[in-house]
Amino acid sequence: MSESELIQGLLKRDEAAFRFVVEKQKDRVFNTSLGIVQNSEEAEDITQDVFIEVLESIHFFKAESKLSTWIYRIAITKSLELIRKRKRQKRFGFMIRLFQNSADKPEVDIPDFVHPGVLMENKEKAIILFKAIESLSENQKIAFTLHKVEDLSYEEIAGIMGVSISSVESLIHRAKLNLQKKLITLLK
Amino acid sequence: METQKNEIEEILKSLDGIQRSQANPFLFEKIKGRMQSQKSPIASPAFAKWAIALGLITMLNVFTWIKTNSDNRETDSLKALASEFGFTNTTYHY
Repeated sequence: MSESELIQGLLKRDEAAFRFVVEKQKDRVFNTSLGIVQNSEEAEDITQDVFIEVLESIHFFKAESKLSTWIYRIAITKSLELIRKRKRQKRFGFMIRLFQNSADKPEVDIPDFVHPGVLMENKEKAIILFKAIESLSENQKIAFTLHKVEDLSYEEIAGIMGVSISSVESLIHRAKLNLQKKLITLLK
Repeated sequence: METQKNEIEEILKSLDGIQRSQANPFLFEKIKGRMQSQKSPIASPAFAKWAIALGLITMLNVFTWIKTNSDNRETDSLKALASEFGFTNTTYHY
């Protein structure tokens, strides 16, 4: 099935076309979301949301980029929305705890994230790295995750993020520098 | 210092050779199920909230209407009693 046939199928809400898109893109969407939100259940919810959004918003797709690029963008937007929501909840939770006896409600300890695709011998180091990745700015996090976790080229990342290739290079370079700084504090 | 630098380099390389994680094999069925449940507004929590709010407003209106009517009825019976005993004239002649 060609891309234009797929788009036409999605516009007609054809189930076969929709199933084809889901089956073809689901691992990419899930892996990207998982790399950003670092939680399997939330990444799966996001993956479902992404494909529902694809079907609902296909008439907005202008075919200026590939369908997969557009789907990546939706996945990134939804993953970042979840991280922002989490931060808001964390701030709100902090405010509530200020007015509560800390012994009443202990802070929930979030378990370390282990990406299922990491090689066995690298698991412990990857846990530390994912902890450090959380401290990066949104753009650096996206560029670094797409490059390292999704194994995308700078060109593909530039297409998804809507920036130049040199911007992606710069984002990844700065991400690495910031990660080095963060790792120094984490290893102390 | 050199050891820490090496350790950091090792950590930064820990994602090399990472495999793409796989989504739920039944994802399409799950999405279909979710879309079907979203189609039915009765099942949505937003619909339930609106229905409860509407119900409360209706109940409040009915209660106010009943209360106003019973007050009017009470006033009417008092007026009838007052006129029967000739207490309707509010002007006092001394």
